Amino acid sequence: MDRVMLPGAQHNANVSLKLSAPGLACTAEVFLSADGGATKVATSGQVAFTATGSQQTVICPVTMPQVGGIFYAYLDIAGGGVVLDQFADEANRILVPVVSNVEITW
Amino acid sequence: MLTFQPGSTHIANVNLTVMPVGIECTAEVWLTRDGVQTAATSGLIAFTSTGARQQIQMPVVMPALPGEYLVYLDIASGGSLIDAFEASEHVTVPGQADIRVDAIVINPTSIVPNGAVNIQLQCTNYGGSDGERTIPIYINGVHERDGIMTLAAGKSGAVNVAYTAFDEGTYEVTADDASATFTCSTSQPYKGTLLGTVKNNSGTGIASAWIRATNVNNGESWLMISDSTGAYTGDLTAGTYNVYAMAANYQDSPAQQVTITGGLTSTLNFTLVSLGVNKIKDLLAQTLAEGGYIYPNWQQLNFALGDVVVITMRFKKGAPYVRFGAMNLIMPNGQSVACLGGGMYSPGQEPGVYYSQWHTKDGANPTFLTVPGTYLVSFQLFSSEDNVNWAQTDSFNIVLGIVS
Repeated sequence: MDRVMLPGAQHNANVSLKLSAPGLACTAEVFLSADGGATKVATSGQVAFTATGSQQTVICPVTMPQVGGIFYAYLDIAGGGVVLDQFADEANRILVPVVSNVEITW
Repeated sequence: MLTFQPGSTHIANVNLTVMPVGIECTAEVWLTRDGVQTAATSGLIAFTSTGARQQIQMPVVMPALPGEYLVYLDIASGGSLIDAFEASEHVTVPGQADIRVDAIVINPTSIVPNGAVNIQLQCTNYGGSDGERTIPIYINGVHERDGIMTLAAGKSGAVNVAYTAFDEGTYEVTADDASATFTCSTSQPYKGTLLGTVKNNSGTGIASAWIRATNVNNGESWLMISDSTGAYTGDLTAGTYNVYAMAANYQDSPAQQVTITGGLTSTLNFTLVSLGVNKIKDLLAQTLAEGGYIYPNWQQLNFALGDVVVITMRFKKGAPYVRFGAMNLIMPNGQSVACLGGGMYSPGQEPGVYYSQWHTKDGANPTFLTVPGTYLVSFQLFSSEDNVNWAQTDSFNIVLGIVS
């Protein structure tokens, strides 16, 4: 499913996950990329959370890039400085439209 | 600055690039005076971004309210505004024509039964467009006449309507919010006096000038004649008149308009411009019976092309009947042309001094002085003892002058 998000707008990525290590200090980072994750065009930064051992939600705010394009969302989960897992939501595109070269004539 | 008539539809051509390709968008062009309130809009026009420059055509019906409008463009997708723009060029919507009567002027304001007044509606177009309006005129509350006024936006003007009153009384004339009155009565002084002077450029009064006054409403015409000082006077029926003066050897004056009010005196002076350069020469001559012709004060003159020379011939008549049969002008090429004037001068048996006047023109030609050179005049004199048998008793030529 495509989502249209405006350039510069901030959206919350609600990351729902279950980490079976209660009490473990972790970070989550949601970022957007158009090239398979190699280049981050927007990121939530590392959002700290503590694993509860049950299903929990981590909110990762992301400011959309000013450059228009089609992006995918990626998620990195780290704990103790080690990347625990990576996820790619390549089924859903994020469309960031940008308008330019506007001229009105009558 | 774009100017569009209120209520007219115009297409705003929006050229833009929306990245990336394939986004379902809407565009809306809207007009506003304050940046907030929408005065006119194209509505939401759907389009799909091509990722390249594309054009969307947005029809907009101009607002009815006159004014200057800012033009805004909103681009949205999924119900959210992507971007908003303001066009560099504003749109001006002029107002409709709005012709209203400012004042009513009635002339004259006093008439006798069956007299006519002129009702003048003084109007201004307060709207933003040129226009025409048929203005109803009410007299004592009854729609009696219409005045048709055509005015450009912002301009003022007047329309005149004639009205004849048959009954005595006071008449109130209204149009829009303006009103004026006039009275109609047999007891009113319905004549006024027009007087003035007719003078030439030098300020000298012109005698026997005709002054013609024509009523602009009913065509009634009056003729007055100036006295030896150029003064004239006349009693005219109250009304508005076009007046002009004319006199021999002068151009008719331009018409002047004057309003004659019953019981009052109006003054109108005229200054007439001489026709060309009229140079009058007094040529003294005597009949044979008096011993020949003399013209001691004749001097050759220089004239300009187009001049009309008026020669007054003063002569003493010895024979019972005398006439100058003709004055011929001899042109530089030798051609002789008969001039206007002269004729028979035999007013009686008594010897005496008489005059004859000649012009260097005829009824068809305004002047004979049409080529440069020396012109002569030739006179022929005829005498008779019985006014039946005439004989040429003498003739003479003089040099009229040089024309250059």
